[in-house]
Amino acid sequence: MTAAPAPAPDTTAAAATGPLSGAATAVAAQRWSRRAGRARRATVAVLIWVASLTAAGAACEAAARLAPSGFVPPPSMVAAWIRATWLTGPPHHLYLNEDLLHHLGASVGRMLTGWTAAVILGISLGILLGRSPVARDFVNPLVQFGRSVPPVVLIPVYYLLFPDATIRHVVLIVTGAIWPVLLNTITGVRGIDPALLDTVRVLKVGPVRRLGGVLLPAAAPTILTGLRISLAIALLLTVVSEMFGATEGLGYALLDAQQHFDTTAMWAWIVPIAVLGNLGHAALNGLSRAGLARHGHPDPHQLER
Amino acid sequence: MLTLDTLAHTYRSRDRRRDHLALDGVKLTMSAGEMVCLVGPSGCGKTTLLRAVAGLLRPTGGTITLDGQPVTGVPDGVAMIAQNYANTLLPWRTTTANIAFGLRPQHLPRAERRERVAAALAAVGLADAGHKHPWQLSGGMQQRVAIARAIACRPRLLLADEPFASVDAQTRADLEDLLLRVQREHHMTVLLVTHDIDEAVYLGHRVAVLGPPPSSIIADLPIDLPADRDQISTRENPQFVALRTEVARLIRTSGQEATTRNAAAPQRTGA
Amino acid sequence: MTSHTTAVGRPGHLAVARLAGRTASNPGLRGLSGVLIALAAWEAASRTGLLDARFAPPPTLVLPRAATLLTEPDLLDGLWLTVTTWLAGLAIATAIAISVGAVLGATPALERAARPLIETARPIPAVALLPVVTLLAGMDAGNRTGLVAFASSWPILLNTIAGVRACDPALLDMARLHGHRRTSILATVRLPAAAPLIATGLRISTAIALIATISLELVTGTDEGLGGYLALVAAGGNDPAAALGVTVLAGLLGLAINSATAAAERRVFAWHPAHIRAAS
Repeated sequence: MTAAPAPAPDTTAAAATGPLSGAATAVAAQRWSRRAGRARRATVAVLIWVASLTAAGAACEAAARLAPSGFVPPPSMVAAWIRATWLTGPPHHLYLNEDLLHHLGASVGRMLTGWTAAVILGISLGILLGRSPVARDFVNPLVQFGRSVPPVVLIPVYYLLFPDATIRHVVLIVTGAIWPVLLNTITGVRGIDPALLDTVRVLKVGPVRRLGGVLLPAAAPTILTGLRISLAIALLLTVVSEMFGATEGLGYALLDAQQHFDTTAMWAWIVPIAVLGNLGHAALNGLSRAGLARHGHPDPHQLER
Repeated sequence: MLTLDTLAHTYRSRDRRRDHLALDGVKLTMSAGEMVCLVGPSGCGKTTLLRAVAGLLRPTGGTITLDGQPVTGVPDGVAMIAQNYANTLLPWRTTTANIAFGLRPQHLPRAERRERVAAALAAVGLADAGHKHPWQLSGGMQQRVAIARAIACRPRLLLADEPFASVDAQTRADLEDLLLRVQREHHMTVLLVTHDIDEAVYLGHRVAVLGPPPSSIIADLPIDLPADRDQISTRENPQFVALRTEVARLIRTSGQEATTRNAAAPQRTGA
Repeated sequence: MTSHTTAVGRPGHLAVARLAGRTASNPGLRGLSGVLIALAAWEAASRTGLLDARFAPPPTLVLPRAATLLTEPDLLDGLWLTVTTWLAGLAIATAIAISVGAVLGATPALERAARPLIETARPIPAVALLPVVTLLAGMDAGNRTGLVAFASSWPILLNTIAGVRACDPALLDMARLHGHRRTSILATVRLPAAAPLIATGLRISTAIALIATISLELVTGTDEGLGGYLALVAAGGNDPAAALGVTVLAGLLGLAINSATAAAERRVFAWHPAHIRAAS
């Protein structure tokens, strides 16, 4: 990060070019010290993260060694297993080996396909329903019922209805992940200031520009919260779905390890699942902060709505 | 009873260049039973001063002495009413419960607490609004509840931070008279901050003028008007007019001085 | 609430408007017609083979079967166990999450230290821990309750922290001025002020807890609870209407719970500005 160093006050230069350049260098100096301040704060935040997680890891390690149990190996053992089993691949694969990549790829593929479909469907329907109270009236009981059905309950039925594994997984994910997106989009669109909508109508803004330039940005914070929840559900359903009649994927690998009584492997397989969850969460957070800041929204809370 | 001695406060910012010197060398004394009104332009540190007296803020310079004891942290027997009354009432409690909330730390016997609450409610004219919640009351009534809560504690010092700035003119007149009556009845010591010159002259035994930042007391005028004030007759009293004109002039000249001061030294960072 | 009717002349809206007019602008009636239309579509799909009727029978078969299910003692036992597991897990989650959340929300230093742990643990689906817990201690109702508690504590925890942190400073100043101590302020000011947010978290957790309970029952291959009953029915394979019937019942259970919690929220928090705005 390039920084303009705070200039020593050069009276002759200032006198020669007048008070305005003096003010300009003062502003630049302020901006630099502000950036330095931000960088400092970011470093501290990262340090706290590292310290906190390391402390937790050390505590688990100590506990596992003091009270050894076959079922809860110390983190160091799990780490060793991971290094021996997974970190054997070529550098261009991030040193990850084929097996891990295969299962990881399968899970990520299903999760993203299902989630994307849920998002597209959910936002489209949500906008339509958000704009039309009449349509909402018709559809409301169905939506309320649909979101109350735990998607897991449909697994046995889907198992029979969709013999193709991939389709089955994706349909299940969509079934569960669409509701937060749909509901939050409806809420977001409904919450748009009517004065704004009237202005847009008076200005005869075309439908595409209205959608992309007004509706979506105005409803964006609420929709993004829905996307976050929906992604978490998508991950959950992917893992669950892979525990039923799958032949690949993280859920399958986890169950497989359990059936072989390989406890270290079981704990190890939780790691990529946790990493996926965290990555998705972080990606959406970053997206929302960047996108919303650009559109003038304040930083969204870490809330579930 | 209350002494502010060369009170100063600087708001520090993350980079030292943007420190804001709000108060500088404020000197003020108050005796028991006095109502002192502090006037000044917006942004002149009036709220900073009150928060420092209330112990909610640690000043960076100077001392505050209350009844001989220095103020470090929140002292006993100080109550405050503020402009944003709605924000200081607990919305999930009824009016009675809100007033009782203010009394709880005093650990009074229940009967006495109930009595004080009822008396306070009666004093502000809300005797039958005890069971209502704040959202069921108008702005003026909410402010009365805040006043009731303050007087139920029998404070030795009542601080008022522009308490009537957010109500309409008629309600404002009623509330001013309410405060006046309560103060005279209980000989309460009141430090009231306002930007309304007329209000300051109307209510106070003394009016102190706070200058623009870095603020200090630039004038301290005794108000020699009859103790019985009336919204109409007092305000047309020529002495009232003379006093408020004097205050207005003081504020204006101090404002002009500050502007010329700032223009001459552009590198000094302001608010 | 006034609705913004869009300009006349857009065909889609015209059709909807006509249908709307026919249902005499009564939202209840419209909702009912929506449900009936959906059921009719399902019936048609099943009968015409769009949906394989062996696995997805039409509503005329499923709905009566769902009704008879409610008379079967096995299902009722399972339902009871599911509901108790769900409630117990939720209660544990609430107790722990609110206590921890309150302390964290009021102590910024602690919260900053704990946040990395919370953020890392939170995205882990409880189901991922299932195999481990199964091996560790077998999977009985007690362990399921524990996992349900783990899964459903996060929304409550996060919302409690946020709500306690976001308490209006004016209230805190007022309380301090009157002489209240930190613990008193936490209990009598911060927590009640955070209550609406906590309630929202609780509502979300309620839904998650139910899903987690049924998922755990289903995935562990037990015959306990609603999930276990469903697994048995599905494995039997000779009563497809029952499988969908259980789905319908589970949905109705969830719906009843959601409606009840939303209504309770509205009553208890009548004093909150959001509800006042909504009611006006």
